[in-house]
Amino acid sequence: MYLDFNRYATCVRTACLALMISVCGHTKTSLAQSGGSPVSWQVLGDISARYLHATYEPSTLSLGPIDLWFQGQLSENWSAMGELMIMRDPSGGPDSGHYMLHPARLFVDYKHSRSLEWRFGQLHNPIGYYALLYPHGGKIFEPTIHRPKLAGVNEGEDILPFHMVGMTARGVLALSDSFELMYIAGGGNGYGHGGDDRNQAKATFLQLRALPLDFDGLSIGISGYYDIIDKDEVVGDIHQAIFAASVHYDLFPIDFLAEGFLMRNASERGLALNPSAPSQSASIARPTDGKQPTKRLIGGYAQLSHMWEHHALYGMFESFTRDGGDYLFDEHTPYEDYMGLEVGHRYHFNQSLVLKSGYSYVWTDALHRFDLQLAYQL
Amino acid sequence: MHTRFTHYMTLAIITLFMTLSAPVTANNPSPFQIAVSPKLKIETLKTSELSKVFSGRRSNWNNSTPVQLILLPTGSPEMRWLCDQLKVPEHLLRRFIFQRVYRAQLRKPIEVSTASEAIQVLANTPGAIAPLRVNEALIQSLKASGASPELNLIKLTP
Repeated sequence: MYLDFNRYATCVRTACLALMISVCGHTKTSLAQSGGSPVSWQVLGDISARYLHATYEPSTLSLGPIDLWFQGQLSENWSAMGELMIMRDPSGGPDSGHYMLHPARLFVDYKHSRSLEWRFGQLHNPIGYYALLYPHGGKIFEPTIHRPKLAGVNEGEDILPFHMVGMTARGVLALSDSFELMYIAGGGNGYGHGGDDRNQAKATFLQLRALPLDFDGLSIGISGYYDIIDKDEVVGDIHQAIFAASVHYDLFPIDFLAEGFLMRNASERGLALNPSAPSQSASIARPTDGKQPTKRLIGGYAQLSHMWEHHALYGMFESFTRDGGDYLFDEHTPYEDYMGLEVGHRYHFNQSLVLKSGYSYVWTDALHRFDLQLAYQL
Repeated sequence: MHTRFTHYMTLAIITLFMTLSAPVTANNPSPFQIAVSPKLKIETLKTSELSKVFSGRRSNWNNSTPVQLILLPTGSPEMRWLCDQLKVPEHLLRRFIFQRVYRAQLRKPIEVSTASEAIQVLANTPGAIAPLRVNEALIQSLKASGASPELNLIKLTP
């Protein structure tokens, strides 16, 4: 079944603009009457320079996506947040290379209590933790220059389906004096960069994070995601299951995050949800019956950053392997086996300007790379 | 011999300086305090909890009221004192706070330009918290403005 992305994009943009106008149309007075506050705006972005020790790609300067972030408190319990990205279209289609407006996040939030909060709109799926910690265009907040490949969110580079239109329930439950549990549960359109999912079955997900209060800054989480996908070239459905586990420690001056992922695509639910079921190699990538073969991706990354006043040193290591010839993986990453390392330095001029310099090496490509990135927040 | 004499003199100067400065500290308790909304029935707060609140790791009070941070101008004595308490540079504290706001984990802080303004916001915003310098000048300025908001100062405990 053909997904009409242009139509979807037009609809979403129209909805974005309508919401923006609606939210921004509130004057200070009307918001004060409704118990709200004026809309807050921030612009985030980056300018980068790269040198690749290779002849097939040039060294270049590049302008990163510009992130227009806004938030408004509509009443004591209701708020809205949006994040519109002005970015180059990387899809490879006829508009590739042109700048486009992409709604990365756009949702309305109802906070009933600390233990229950509802969100409706375009959100990031709680697959793992990276996309929740570093949602999209906030380069100034990301410890490294490059996101881990497994946490990629730009269209065409997002191996995992981080975007969805749907709803979530989330909250923090105090289970004892020394232990809290954070949860996020919900459903929405899955595959298709959050767009329209013409399959009646919607993606569902759950994330649980343990927060030991005696160990300030530490959280340990697991998450699961399940979706049923239609694709024109596949007979029947594609069942997709993604499992993730993560450890996060964030207490100044240390920031550590390690995550592992297991993704399975199969023609049946049982094959997708069973982590130990065997997967099929690339040699039988396109079965004669046209059904989705059972394919697997497994991998993870770890990153560590340590700060001293205005300086920080960071490092990140990532590795994953996947079965070749998969209908879904092949669209999003050329790598079947990937191993990469990035180390670097950050200099925080102030709260609004960070200069990152980094060296990275990808074993798969035997490629050395040097980057400079100036990330800002206005 | 000369080096040894220099060491003795240095020690003597340091001892004299410490002797002179100690009574000044003891007799002048810090005017800086943490104030919260009078609607929050809180009397004490651990320093570790203060760190969680101001770094956005805790976004609700125990009664589920959302935390609403009030920030005074960058480099103000109140913010410098707060950052000393939290042992974090101010530019990083502000970065942490906005990072949590950006993640939709925390409400955007209310930026005020004076302590009097902070007190007005504290009075009208449930869940609000702010560092304040409570001195004679502040009390006089509140009296002069005719406002008499209730001030809920809390005690920081280790």
